[in-house]
Amino acid sequence: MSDILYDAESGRLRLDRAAFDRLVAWAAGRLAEAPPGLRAAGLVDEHERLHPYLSDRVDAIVDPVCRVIIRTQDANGRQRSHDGWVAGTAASLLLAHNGGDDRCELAGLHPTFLPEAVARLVGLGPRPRLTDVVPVLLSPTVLDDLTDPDPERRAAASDWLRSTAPGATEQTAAEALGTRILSRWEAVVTWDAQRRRSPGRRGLHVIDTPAGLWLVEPVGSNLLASPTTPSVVWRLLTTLLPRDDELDFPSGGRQAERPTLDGV
Amino acid sequence: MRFVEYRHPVAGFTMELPEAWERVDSVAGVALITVEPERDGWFRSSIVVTIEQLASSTTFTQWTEAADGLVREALHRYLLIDSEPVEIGGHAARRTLAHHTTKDNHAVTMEQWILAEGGCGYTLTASAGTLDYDHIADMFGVIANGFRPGPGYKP
Repeated sequence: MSDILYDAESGRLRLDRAAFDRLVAWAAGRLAEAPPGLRAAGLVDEHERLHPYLSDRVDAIVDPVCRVIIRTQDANGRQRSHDGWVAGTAASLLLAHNGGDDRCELAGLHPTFLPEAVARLVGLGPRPRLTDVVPVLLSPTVLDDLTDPDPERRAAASDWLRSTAPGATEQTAAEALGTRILSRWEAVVTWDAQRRRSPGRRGLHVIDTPAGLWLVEPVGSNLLASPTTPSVVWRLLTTLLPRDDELDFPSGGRQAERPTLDGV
Repeated sequence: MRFVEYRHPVAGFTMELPEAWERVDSVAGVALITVEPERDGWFRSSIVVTIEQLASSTTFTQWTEAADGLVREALHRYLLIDSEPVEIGGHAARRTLAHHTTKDNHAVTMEQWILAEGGCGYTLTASAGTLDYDHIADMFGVIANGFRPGPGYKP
């Protein structure tokens, strides 16, 4: 049985993943008629029309310019994954419930508010500065262990990190990174990369510790964790969405059919 | 972008400003408002300078905390992103970065520098549409770092 709670006054929509999938399948024309659960919850009226408050949100999902994924992992290893879809003047976020089940909330926002939404989801805010701290090279396994749900695994990874630090500055960095991690999060935006100069993907990966923030970037098969600040992370968040020149389509005509993000 | 040296006609503070930006320094309670040219409905980036007289018993920390409280109450969906001590022209200052939503439903990134000098509290507030912020953030920083209070000014 589906679980859909829709407040037609506010437009707030909470539903499980199965109900979400049915909503999108119907909106995309893959179902001949609206599933009864959508009607019963008030999302769809007797004329098979979506409630007006939901139109922009669902349109963005059905025909997005880009996709967004926000993955978070807290100090105890609890993971959540939020999905997003961005069109020209509307965006949708399917926010995972923090209870660990598959309940979600489908939120609508203007694309210009995406950085704020991510910042609120990951708890971006003032942090101490990591001074005199050098970047730390990690294997993905060590980073996973540092945020593992198992405290013993976290402690072992932390000990290993500190024991392998070659000098005093590396030791300081290992202490700062390995002592305690508050959270680890990643925000990734992807889009059709028709042009060679368009990367088709932009993202950032951050480790939040009581000592400060770290920006994680791939270096070969490893990860380089570099000390950073909330201001730097914010600037990166504001540049996640593709620019107009990254959304051009060389075949002509198609671009005009697709909304772009600059200037909205 | 071309810049001009600006000196406030009464308060005497100086700073570099974009030449093309509109400037108003005759509004009561606000020392300077400077706004980028109209851009067809986009949020116009701006820099605003306010000056207030500080009671001799007020410490810098007390003043900044009070200022934080006012901003938090005044701005819709205020989100503090960063706060750090900085130095501007040899004066201890504090920089904050925040996000808020305007009455017109614009997503705005706001960077603010506050410093105290000669019994005056100076606040520089730079605002940009959030998706414009990365393009303009360095310029905001350069302008703020070039700010110099007017010598001997009392509001």
